[in-house]
Amino acid sequence: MPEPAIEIQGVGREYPSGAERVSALRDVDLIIYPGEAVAITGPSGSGKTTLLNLVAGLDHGSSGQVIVLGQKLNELSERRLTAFRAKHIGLVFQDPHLLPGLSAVENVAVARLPWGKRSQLMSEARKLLVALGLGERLHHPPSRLSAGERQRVGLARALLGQPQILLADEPTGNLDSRTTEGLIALLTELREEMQITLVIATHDPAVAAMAQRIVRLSGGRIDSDRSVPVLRPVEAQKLD
Amino acid sequence: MALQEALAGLLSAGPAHGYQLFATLESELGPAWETRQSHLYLTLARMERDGLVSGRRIRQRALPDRQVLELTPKGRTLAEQWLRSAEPLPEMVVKLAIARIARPELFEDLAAAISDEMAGRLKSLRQLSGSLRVGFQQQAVGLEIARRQAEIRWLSSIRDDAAAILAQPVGHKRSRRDDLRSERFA
Repeated sequence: MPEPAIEIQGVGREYPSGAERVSALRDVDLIIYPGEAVAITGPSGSGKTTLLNLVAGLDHGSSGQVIVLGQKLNELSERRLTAFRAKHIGLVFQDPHLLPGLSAVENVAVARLPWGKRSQLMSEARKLLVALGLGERLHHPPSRLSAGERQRVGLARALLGQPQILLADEPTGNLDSRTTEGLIALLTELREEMQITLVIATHDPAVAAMAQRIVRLSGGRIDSDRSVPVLRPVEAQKLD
Repeated sequence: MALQEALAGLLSAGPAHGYQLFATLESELGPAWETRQSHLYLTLARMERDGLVSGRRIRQRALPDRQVLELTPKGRTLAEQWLRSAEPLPEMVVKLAIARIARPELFEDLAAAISDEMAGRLKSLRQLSGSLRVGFQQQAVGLEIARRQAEIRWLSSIRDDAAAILAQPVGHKRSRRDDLRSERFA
């Protein structure tokens, strides 16, 4: 067995809510290996985003620990955690939050400016956008891009610097069904080409089906963790 | 579709007579699924001939004798295999409906196993769709993708609501005749 890409050990996350404490995650154990595509699914409020934020180091658990690429995240200072995330983890959100005053290519490059040379980052950003089918939109501001194009810019931004792990939180939440299928095809292709570890949180089981494993959360706990079988696509209907 | 297996599944909960089985199927699955009474009796007769069920006659005072059916070991194996298998997908509704009342302990696992099958097929269809370039093939496969998506979302809602679904009362469609007779088999 290879070393896990992500190891979640007995993680819980509680939030204060008035005089009480609410558990968003309870005693979660999960191991994800390099190159795996894992969907985290479950109804709203089941803990999907909390789990992803913990893996990204955007939040800290109330108990247990998260180990990413062998690094215990709770042992890193905020500054080193930010640098670790920038180097190893790409993040895609439901809303890509692009900066309105910047072009598509600048939006891709800007987040990594503290860690690279501007000319090199811009060149890589251009290549990524072309690979994602946005070669004609490099210099368009976000307002002149469709929702699907904006999400692809967000994806390019996440992939800049070739992270080993891509975390996507409801990446198709704002997309119509046709654009959703396009993004699923793109993510599948990219993951296979780049051998990236993909963790995608989605409430939509039809999106989750793109993964190799589907982890279902319910009330902050893992309800099931099941592999998606490899099957023949379709039993052709008989035309007789 | 799969009437023989559906009847075996229902009988795995205990012996029943033909009309009870018909009434249960009608009340649990109608109006989406229609059960023809004549076909049901023919299927039961065939199952008895094939050693899947055995019947015993119950005498009634004013009415003709009634036959109570129960599964043989062979019939029990058939029911068990059918209720535990996610395949074939087209009859998933029937299978889940019967698991709910006859084998509620299998219901959630069955829904999860069918979800896995569905996800596997959806994934393969998406891969196939990407390679299709000629004629109407991509659109034809697109319809299959849309169907699998709808089914997988439906299954997800079934899993989310499993506890409430299992708590729903069993439907009863009873004729007056059945009421008159039923006390004998209570």
